[in-house]
Amino acid sequence: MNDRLTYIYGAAAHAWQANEPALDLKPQLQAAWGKRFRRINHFIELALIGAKSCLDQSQLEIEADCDLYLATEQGNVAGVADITRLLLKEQEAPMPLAFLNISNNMAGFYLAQSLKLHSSNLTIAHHSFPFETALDLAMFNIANSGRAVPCALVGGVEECAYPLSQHRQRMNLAADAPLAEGSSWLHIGAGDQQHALARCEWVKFFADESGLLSFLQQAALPSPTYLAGGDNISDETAVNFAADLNVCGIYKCANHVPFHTTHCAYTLASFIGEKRGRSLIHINRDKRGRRYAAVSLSVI
Amino acid sequence: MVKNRVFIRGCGVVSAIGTTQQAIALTCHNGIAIPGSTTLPHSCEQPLPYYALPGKTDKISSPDLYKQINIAVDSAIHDAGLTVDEISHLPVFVGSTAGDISDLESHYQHELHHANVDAPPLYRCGFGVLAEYIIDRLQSDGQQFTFNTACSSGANALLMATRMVAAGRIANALVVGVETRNQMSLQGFNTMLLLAAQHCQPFDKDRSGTVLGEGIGAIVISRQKPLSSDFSAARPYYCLGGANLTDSVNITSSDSSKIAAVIAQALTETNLHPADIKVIKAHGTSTPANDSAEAQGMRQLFGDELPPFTSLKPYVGHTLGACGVVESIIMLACLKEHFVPATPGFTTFDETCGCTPLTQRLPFDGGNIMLNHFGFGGNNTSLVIANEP
Repeated sequence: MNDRLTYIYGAAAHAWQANEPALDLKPQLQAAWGKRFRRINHFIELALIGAKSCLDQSQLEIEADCDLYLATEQGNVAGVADITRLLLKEQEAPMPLAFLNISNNMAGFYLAQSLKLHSSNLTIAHHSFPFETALDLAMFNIANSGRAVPCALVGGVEECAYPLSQHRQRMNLAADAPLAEGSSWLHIGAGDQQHALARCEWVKFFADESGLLSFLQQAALPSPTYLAGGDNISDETAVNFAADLNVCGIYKCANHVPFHTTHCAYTLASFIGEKRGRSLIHINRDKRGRRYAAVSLSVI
Repeated sequence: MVKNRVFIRGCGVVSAIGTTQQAIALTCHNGIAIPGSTTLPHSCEQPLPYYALPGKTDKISSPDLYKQINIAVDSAIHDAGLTVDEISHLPVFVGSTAGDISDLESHYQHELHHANVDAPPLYRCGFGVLAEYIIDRLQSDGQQFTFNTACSSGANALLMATRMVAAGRIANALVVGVETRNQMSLQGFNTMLLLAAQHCQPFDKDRSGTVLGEGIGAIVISRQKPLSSDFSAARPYYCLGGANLTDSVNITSSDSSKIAAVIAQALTETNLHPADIKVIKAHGTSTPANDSAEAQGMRQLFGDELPPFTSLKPYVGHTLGACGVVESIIMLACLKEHFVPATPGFTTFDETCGCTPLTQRLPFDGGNIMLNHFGFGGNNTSLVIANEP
């Protein structure tokens, strides 16, 4: 496998605590893009806001061959729930565009259209580690690309379906558990170190905790390195991990927002904005508490 | 960069025309498959043609999604002759549009039937649940990927798995395409006026829409040649790779130039020239706009002397996100029997297409085969598989 380094040129962390009624993102979307988007749903709006913010902050102009990876666990869950209710309870057929927009890759289409991309465009789902999986795939394709300066836009997008009480039920969360929506993105690539904000060191997946700890204890961690725990890692567990490893502390985002499955993207992007010259290891555990994913990056 | 050859080591499929490669090849050899029908609830329209899995009732949502996945996956693993150790590290790549929506619909229907009108429409959510299910059932510690790119989902799963095996990152991969009958897809395609009232007739002048179908396909790809399997053991097939590119202009029907571009990119990625392609398995949905764009795109790239091409949707219907895997398996089952299947339903030349698919099966003695898949959201993927020389 090619040993090309992956650099991060832009990062944007966006998350919103979910409350009823649902947040109206249209003003923010219009402000970000300077134009109105018609006939799109909330999930697509989230993706467009986060990606544009990332590119606005990026040190590199986006090229038409920039690949796009959109990570999500639940995808267009609000739209899918609406149409399911419409079909089975109200016994009505969906409107054509409402049906079209619930295809998870529509957010990627609108992004590609708005950015005039002609590139690979993948929507990646995962039950516990969607962003880690998409970032891993993007880094793999960059490392093995024949292009001189391969690049990718990698985002984690998650929405809630309303009413939130039902959404908590389907997420198997407590009735009072806080929820969030998120759209956090990294603009990554290889071949241009000069404009990099950070370097993405690795993404790894482990079958169990002993595999994770064994890897981290043998890894040459740059100093100073922080550790961040994902949504399924309790504060106590994070402290225990930190004690086992040579890290300088636990990283918590300045603007903490509650649970969403692509929270990893939010944490990585926040860290890049806050901790120049520092490194981070983000660890998360799957929903059953068995498998682990870890990401490491170093801010330049 | 070290490039490994990526062999197709085993396949398993559950489709409207059978669950064995032999049965599928026999139907395709005969060149005819008649769809069943399905009635859209709350609709006064006539029943629509539909390619249901064998033995299925007219229930609008398939209640046995996981059982069908098990059949396809177990069959592929058996066919590949994977060892217990290989299975325990097997990465899983799933491509699907609807995921487990058929199961979710069945559950919600059950709740409504029992007067639980406040039940949530989806009792759980997450598009990665099928990959998680397969990994758990196999007790594999391999990585899992799920691709949701509309009708190119399965093709993208196969493409990315191929790249990882070729690069030496993984030794084997299980690629699964899943699409089972659900009301959402049927009603959605119907409301978009994309469904044919009677027949699936790819590239025919009188084509009027596609016919949906359900299917689950599983392919094991590997750095290792098939050994114990009877699947083309003498002259194994292998995946060369391909390309995925987005047409960011047209949301439901790609422009022909974008189709030509993804085919050209696939040829570049596989170090092939147009003349190296012996046969094309077209996407061939039988919708007026898609088929003419695809035909024009192929002609832009290959010229008017197109390689022989066929569409498999008249045999199993359009299996949406699964078609990249299901149709690859059908094609391989036929190639193994040394023929390329014809395109049933084609009778009348269409000038907007300007080309004619195979109307008779074609003898096949090896070479490079292109497999094209195009999805909503302009998501276009072109793959190439080949025979061992």
